[in-house]
Parts: sequence; structure tokens; C-alpha cells
Amino acid sequence: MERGIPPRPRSWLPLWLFGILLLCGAIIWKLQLTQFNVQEAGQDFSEYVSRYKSPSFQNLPEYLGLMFQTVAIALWGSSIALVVAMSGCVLAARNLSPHPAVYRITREIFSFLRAVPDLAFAVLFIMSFGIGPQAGVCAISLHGIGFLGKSFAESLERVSPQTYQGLESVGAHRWQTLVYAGFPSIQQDIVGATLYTFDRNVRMAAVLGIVGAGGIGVPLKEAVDLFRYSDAFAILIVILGTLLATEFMSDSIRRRLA
Amino acid sequence: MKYAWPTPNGRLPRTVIGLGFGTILALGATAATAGMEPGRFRDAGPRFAELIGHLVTPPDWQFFGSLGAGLLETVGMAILASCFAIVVAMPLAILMARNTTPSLLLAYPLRVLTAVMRAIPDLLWALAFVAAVGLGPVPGIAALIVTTVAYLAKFHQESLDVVALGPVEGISSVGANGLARRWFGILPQAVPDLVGQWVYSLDSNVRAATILGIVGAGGVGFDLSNAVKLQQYNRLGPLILSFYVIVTILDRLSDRLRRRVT
Repeated sequence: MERGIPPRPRSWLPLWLFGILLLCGAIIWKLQLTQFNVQEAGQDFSEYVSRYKSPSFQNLPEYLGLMFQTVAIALWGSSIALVVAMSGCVLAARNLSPHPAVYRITREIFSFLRAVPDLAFAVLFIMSFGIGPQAGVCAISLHGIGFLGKSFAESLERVSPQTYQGLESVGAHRWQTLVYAGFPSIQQDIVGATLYTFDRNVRMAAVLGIVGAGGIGVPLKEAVDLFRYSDAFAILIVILGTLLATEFMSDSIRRRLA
Repeated sequence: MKYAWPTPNGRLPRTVIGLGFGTILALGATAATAGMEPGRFRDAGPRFAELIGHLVTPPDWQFFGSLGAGLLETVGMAILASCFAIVVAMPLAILMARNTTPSLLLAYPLRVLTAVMRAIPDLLWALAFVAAVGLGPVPGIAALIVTTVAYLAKFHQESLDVVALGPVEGISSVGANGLARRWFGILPQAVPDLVGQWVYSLDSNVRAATILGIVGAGGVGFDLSNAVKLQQYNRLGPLILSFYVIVTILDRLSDRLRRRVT
């Protein structure tokens, strides 16, 4: 009997595209972006960029010191987040949690911490700490706990049950299965996610200063607000260099562990 | 009884040990710089508790109308920026990936360019765009587009790079070359990854858009910085809760979408 070619599977792509285009159109109309003159904005922007002519490195030692503080804030924030997330993720993994209620509650706490932007946390902490790097560290670590906790818990859930059963079958109890089956299986995920957060946190710490939470953002905001473009340019170069360096560093660590 | 880590020699990998030690040393060296003084934390504790107490007040019901409008604007900004960024990032990634680029001489400069674009945080882009074109959602959308293009281009490039060679060889062997090889051999293999990255970009753009308003680049962040400056706790509480609700809804949606694709 002749079978022939099976019918072409129905594609939903045109429908999706149409819906997305419609949505974008609605947004553009709602935000009244049609009145926006793209050409004029382009001219404005290139004029603005042209003001950043020559960086002035007069205060370079000060900038480098504050950049160091920025990296320190990110490092402390990420480390605190890592320790708390590693201890908490067990409770938030469905297959390892001692009780479904514990699982739900810790999961929700992690999601909440992840959902609130670190800048919002920073603003709250500045209200209680005053201006300074402490607010930045706290804000970054709270957001990081949420992000890392959730991602570790999801990794622990993805580990195949046989890995745990193998240890359970030779009499390991809960802690031993966790330390000798759970964490080794997700070691790569842990390192990857932590490095990603550290990268992200350096970037975040660089802008936390805009709301007053210490680091290189403080002089940057000042320079931009006071139209000192050559200072702002120099600070931007310092930030750019540091961020590229940290990204390169974490990339090479990741490659070594892969 | 002897415990062993499940590696050939039964120990933690050396890189992990080194990283751990290095981190501890670095933490010690930077403690003072990061302001980790117990005194500051003792003082701040009660004040923070008081602040949380303030947040637990009946909300300002009149504020909910403008809060809704602000959230809508925030999400709208994120959606527009993501859509636009996807359209720009796709061709860029094809030019950047080892196996799809017409020439590595083109790929490397593009990779450096996107690395530089990525290195500048979106809030700084927003700060620059606001200074250049004025307040409102447009500079915010522009800032989101710049960072999202840079990220998506890198993620896309990595997904394209690791595509399996078999299928590509398969269609090359029946005569596909150039565009056909890329379109039918390489891209389809990467699509599940790409869709996941698109959804992720929307997710992260919504989160980024909530704070862009702090520098005046549109969205609900403007209300946030106002509420903080004027100490309107009955607005601050609903604001923070609404961040949570919106991000959670998006999380659930994107989880479902991703599961359908992969």
C-alpha cells in the first residue's frame, strides 16, 4: 500500500508573528512613541556623545580605589549569597525537601528575593544603613540569594533519582546523599551560576552608586550631573576595563572546569 | 569509614579548591573596603526592622491607578525592546558564529563590539540616553535594546557554535551550500535554545525596566524613587509587592513556553 509523504505539520509561526506585531503596534500606540522623532533623537545623541572628547585621568587613583571597592562589594555580596543559597537550596528542591510545605515556602522566598530588583533593595538598605557600601553588599546578596537559591534547587531537582538511590542503597542517610551525590552532581552548575552572578554583581555594584550605595557609581553620577564629561569619560573607561577583565576571568575559569 | 568525592582520585577538583581558598583570602583582604564592620550592622538592624514595620501599613488605594499604568508601561517597554533586539541580534549572531559567519575577519570585531556593549550596564546606557534625548520611555527602551542585543548576540552565537555537524553534512552532501546550509542545517538545530533565550530576554528586560525609572527613563521605577524620597511607605509596599507579582507571572508563563518548545 502506498503511504505517500506525511502531511506537512501545521505551523503556528504566522499566527505568533501576527500576534506579536499586533502587540508591538498596540504598545507603540499606547506609549505614544509615534510622536517621537527618530532622526532628531539620533542627532541629539550623536551631539551628546561628541561631548565625551578626551578623558581626564587626574583623579585616577581615586577612581581605581572606588573601582576596587565596587569589586569588593560584588565579591562580598556574591559570597554571602553563595553560602546562604547553598544551605537553603536543599529545602527548596522538591525531591530533597523534608516537607512539601517547607519546599513551597523556601521556593517562594527565593522567588521573591529574585523578583525584587537589587536597586530597589539598595534603596531600602540605604534608608537603614545610611550612605555607604554596606547597603550595596546587603542588596546584592539578597538578590543573589534568590537567584542562586532558585537555580541550585532546580539543578538538584534535575539530578537523576538513581544517583541518590545508589547512595541510599548502601545505607547513606539524608546528609550523606546530599553531600556525596547531590552537590557533586551539580558542581558545574554551582560554579557556572556563581560566576555568572559575580559578573552581574560587579556590573550592578558599578551602578549602585547612582542611588548612593558606594563604589564607582558615586563619582560617575556626580560627574554626569555636573556636566564634567571628561571625568565621566575616564570613569567609564575604568568601569569598562574592569568589567571586561572580570568577564574574561570568569570565562577562563568556566572553561577550565568544563 | 572513608568518604570520597565522586572524582577519579576521590578529592575535590583542584580548581574548585583553589577558587575556594582564593575567594576566602580575597574576602579577608576586602573586608574593610566593603565596609564589613559589625558595628554598622548592629546599628542598622533596628532601623531596618523599623523600616519593615513602616512598610506594613494599609496601602494608599489612590495610588493603584498610576501604579497599574506604570507597570503597564514597564512591561510594554520590555516587550518592545525584546522584539526589536531579537530582530537585530539574529543576523548579528549569524555573522559572529564560527560555523555561520562569512568570514572570521568580520566575526571577531563584532564579538569585541558586543562585549563592550555588554560591559556597560543598562542603567548607564539609560543615563546617557536620558541626558541626550530627554525623559520618558524612549531612552529606556533604547538602553534595553542595546544591552539585550549584546547579550542575545552572544548567547545565540554560542548556541550556533555547538550545533551538531551530522545534519549539516547531510544536507551539504545533497548539494546545499551558503544560505541553504545555514538556514536548513544549522539554524533549526539551535531554535529550541534560541527561543529559550528570547523568553529569558523578556524576563530580564521586565526586571531591568522596573528600575530604569530611577534615572528617569520611563516605567514604574520613577514612582519607586519618588516614594523613597518622600518616604511614602504606603506606596513603597505595594510597589515592591507588584514587582514580585509581575515577575512571578512572567516566570510561570516563560516556564510553560520553554517547556513547549524543548
